[in-house]
Amino acid sequence: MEEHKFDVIIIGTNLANSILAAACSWEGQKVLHIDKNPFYGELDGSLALHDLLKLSDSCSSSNKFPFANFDSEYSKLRSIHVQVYNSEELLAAKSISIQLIPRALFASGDLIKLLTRSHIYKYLELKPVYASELYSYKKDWLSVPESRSDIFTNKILDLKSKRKVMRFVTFVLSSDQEPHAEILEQYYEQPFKNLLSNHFGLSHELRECVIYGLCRSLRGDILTKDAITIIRKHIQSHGIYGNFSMLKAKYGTGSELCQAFCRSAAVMGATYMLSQEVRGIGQNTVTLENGEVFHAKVIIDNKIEKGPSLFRIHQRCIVYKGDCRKLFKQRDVFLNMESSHYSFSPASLDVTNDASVQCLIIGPQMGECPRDHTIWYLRTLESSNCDAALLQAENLLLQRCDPEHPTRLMQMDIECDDTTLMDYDAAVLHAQSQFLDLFGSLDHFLVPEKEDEEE
Amino acid sequence: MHGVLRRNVKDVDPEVRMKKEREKIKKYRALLENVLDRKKKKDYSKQAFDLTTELLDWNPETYSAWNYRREILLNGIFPNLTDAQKQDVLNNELKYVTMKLKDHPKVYWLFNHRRWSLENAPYPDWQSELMLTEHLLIKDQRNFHAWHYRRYVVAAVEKTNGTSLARRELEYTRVAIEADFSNFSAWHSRTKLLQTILNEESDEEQREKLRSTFLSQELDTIHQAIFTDPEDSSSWIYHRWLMGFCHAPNENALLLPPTKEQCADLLRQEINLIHELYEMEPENRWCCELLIEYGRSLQRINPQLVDGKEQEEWVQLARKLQTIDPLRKGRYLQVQKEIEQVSTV
Amino acid sequence: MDPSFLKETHIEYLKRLKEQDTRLEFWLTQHLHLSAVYWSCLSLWLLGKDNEIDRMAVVSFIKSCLTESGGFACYPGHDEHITNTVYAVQVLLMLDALNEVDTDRIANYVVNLQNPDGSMRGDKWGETDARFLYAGINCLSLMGKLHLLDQEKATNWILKCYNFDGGFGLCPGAETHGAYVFTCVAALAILRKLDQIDENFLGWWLSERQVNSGGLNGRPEKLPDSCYSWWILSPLAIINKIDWIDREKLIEFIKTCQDPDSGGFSDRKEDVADVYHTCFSLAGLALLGHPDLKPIDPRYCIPTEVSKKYGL
Repeated sequence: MEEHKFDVIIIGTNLANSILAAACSWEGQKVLHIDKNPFYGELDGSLALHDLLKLSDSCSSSNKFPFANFDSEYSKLRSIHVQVYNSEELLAAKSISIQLIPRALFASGDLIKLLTRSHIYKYLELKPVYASELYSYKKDWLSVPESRSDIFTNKILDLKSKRKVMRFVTFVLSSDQEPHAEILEQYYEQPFKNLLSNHFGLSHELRECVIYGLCRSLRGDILTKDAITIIRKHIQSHGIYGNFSMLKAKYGTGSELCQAFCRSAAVMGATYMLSQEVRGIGQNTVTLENGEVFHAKVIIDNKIEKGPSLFRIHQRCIVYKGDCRKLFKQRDVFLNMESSHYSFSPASLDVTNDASVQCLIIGPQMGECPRDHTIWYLRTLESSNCDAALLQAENLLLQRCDPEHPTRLMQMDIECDDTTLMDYDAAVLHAQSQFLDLFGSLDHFLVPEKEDEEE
Repeated sequence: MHGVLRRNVKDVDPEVRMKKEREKIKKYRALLENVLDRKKKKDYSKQAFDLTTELLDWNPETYSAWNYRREILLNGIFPNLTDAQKQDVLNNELKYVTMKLKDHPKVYWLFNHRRWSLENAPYPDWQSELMLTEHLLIKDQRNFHAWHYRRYVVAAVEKTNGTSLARRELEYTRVAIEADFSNFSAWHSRTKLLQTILNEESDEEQREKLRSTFLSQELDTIHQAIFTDPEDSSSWIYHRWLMGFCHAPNENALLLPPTKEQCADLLRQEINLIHELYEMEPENRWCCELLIEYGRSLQRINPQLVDGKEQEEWVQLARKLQTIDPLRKGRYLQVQKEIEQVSTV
Repeated sequence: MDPSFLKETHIEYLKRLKEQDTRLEFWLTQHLHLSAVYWSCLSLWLLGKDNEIDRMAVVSFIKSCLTESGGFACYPGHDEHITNTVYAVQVLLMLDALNEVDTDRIANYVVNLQNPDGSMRGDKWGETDARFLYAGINCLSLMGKLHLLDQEKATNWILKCYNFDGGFGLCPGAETHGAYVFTCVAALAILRKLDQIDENFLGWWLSERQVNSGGLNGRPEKLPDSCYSWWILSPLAIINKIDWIDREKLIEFIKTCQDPDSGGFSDRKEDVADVYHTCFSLAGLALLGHPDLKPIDPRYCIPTEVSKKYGL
């Protein structure tokens, strides 16, 4: 019976739970971590191609998802649909792994700070996301200025615009200090674009650049309070590890992050059980589908972060075969990195669409697909014509890959709530608040023991 | 001791530290005395050479040990070696110095030993030295030792190949400035490189064309910089240089156009542009000061080009400078006095 | 913290330096030993405690550093170098002991380090740098033997280090740097060639070095450091433009670099104090006319009473 007794049982290996599992194990707690799926991460995870196809098959036959926590009970994932266009080529391509819902990983965010402080980053290979470009209402590409040197070298901005954008950047970095705090207060509950046009006098194009390029908002009416948090993080992140703001982990960011924390938990003695359906949860017991019963003082059975759902998102993932190198910018002679971000302002697309399209392209160097392949993640608000918007954005990107068009191998469409799209830092805050509930203090939250003073 | 925090040192228990320290001192002193004694006795053996390594591992600033090392190489080791063997030995010296530079990127003696090793090598590899400076400058873009060493290496490459690298170096500074335009070292370098490139052009007509191209390119870049961040001093200092504010005897007004009228037009154009920036940034001290300086420069070319209203504006600007930049109040007071003297005359 | 000037604490700090041989640091910095003797002697002198200098011991130590070449080493057993040589001559002059060494031989050593282009090597290995020419000019002048040097070539070489921004670099082509501005301007002052430079322009660059904390930095966009209180301030004093910066704020900054418990000055607040920063912080305060300190000659970096006594 002893082996069935634990201090903490955590159900589900999403990122928040994985961080909590590691933190509890570091605290000396005996942890059991259970997941219904055969893989780590739930919605934060990546799926290997054959799992995804299996998922697609069962979706079409039963209209019910085979993996746990994907159901609409928690109003996260509404639907998932996979279409294969070239099964021969697709099956020939080994080692494709597809992230369900990629989120943003900021170089200055809480998660990176936690990873470095705890040294758990050593389980990961983090790479920069370079090249952020916006397709504007003028039907033209412009590079999104993320830093002082980007503004300086930007070829499109005129002199006065440079001054205005730089003022905005300076404002964001010191928006908690006077006199900026007072101005921010004034616009806090207003649409962000009011601040940009009234206070900074930014042109239409520059407002698009900030709202859709820097903030990566899907909606043009995003409020100042929501936008400023993201933009501050974005700008603060620039230059910490180099000339970029965002990072990705090789082999699939979300699943790698979850596994890194789970691995650290396991090293500290946590027990892991995957592919285990839970039948029932009592006050201090968890009963599995196979009849096994586990006891613990604390049972944590929450599903990712909860929050009110306001908007529904349509996300599309496409696997391409063919030369897409032109989508990746070479910014440094010593680095050959392949992940880029593109934004399309609503007015840039011919379809009447109120939302922007945000796109992340992952190349073979990131270890998620074989050579000559790329994985594209496009995302916009769910609407009657979002399909047309996504297609148009995809075509505009294809034009950049000329002369040879790559071949489309497959497409996965996901409908989900916008609450799932926050950056990965949300998971840290969630795990912290639970840890605080359990132990009453964050002093030991994944803090390594002091190393001996070096000679 | 630059940048060592006081409290970090005080935390350590003095008793424990003293004991550890005594042992180390004993060891170090024995080593130091051994090396200096052998040096005095002109011991040029391999064993003595290894002892210098041990000593320099403690502290690469012990210059006498570097000197001794070279004496051993010259007198004890080189005489029996072929060129290829000598090259191997010196490659090891370079490797050793590279290793030391990682922790001590600003020690003069390291660069000295590097130069000596290359100058005494049968087949010096200058290209890899250029790479080394690039690595050092990625780590610290203002390391003046690295810039200094780079100029030396460039000169050596130029001598070996018989071609000028000035244009390539100009490109190097451009990349550095694009990454961070506060890199004054790179701007400084440009002032010298542009001069070199112009001097290399013997055809008068071509040189004039080149000058005018350079002027407009440099102005364009510097305008981007001052509008992006008008608080950054590097770009303003460079702008002043472009405008002919340069009092070094050999390089007066390098890029200025040939006639007085053209110079006046240029100054007026820049004054107008700075005025635009000044309207956006009325508290910026660089705008204030340069509006005065360039205006007075215009006045010196032709007093007719400046009216009383503009002079009055300078006085206002000089007063404003005393309040927005009180540190340099004395300097601005003198400027104000000078303007008022001219206007009363 | 009330930034009052801790005169007695600094005197204690300087007296304690003699007992430093129980510290590893003392042995590891043997290459600076003679320099440290100069820094501490000058510091004590400026504090009005020249009577605390153990004249016999200091003079005999310095004499023991003199090598066959006529130059001085940092410590017996090491090699001679021009920087040790100037420090030795400065201290010997301050202690009125130049007659105890063969100045002809020393001057000969120094003059032979001059290169054909007028610059000067630091030692026989050939490193060339504006600091070395200044060191040579300074000590030759202190020994009354400046005429042995090719002063015209020296002046021309220094002017080649002059930059567009009004300052000087370590050799022709090098970026302007506070320490080199001092060496070049002071050298020109000793050579009586200050008319060759534009003092307003130089004063402009120097006064730009003061940052909001009141401290001085060595180059644009760098952090302030108490030792620049000497490197930047002395050329300003030489061209009579100390008023182009805010004296009070600089004094305040230098005082924050004091170690209130053990005495001495560090580069910046809270860092570990050392004799180098102590000497140049005091020298800076002396130039600012601090009442607790004796005046200093900005050209030679020795007490004004000494340079006056020898008619320099």
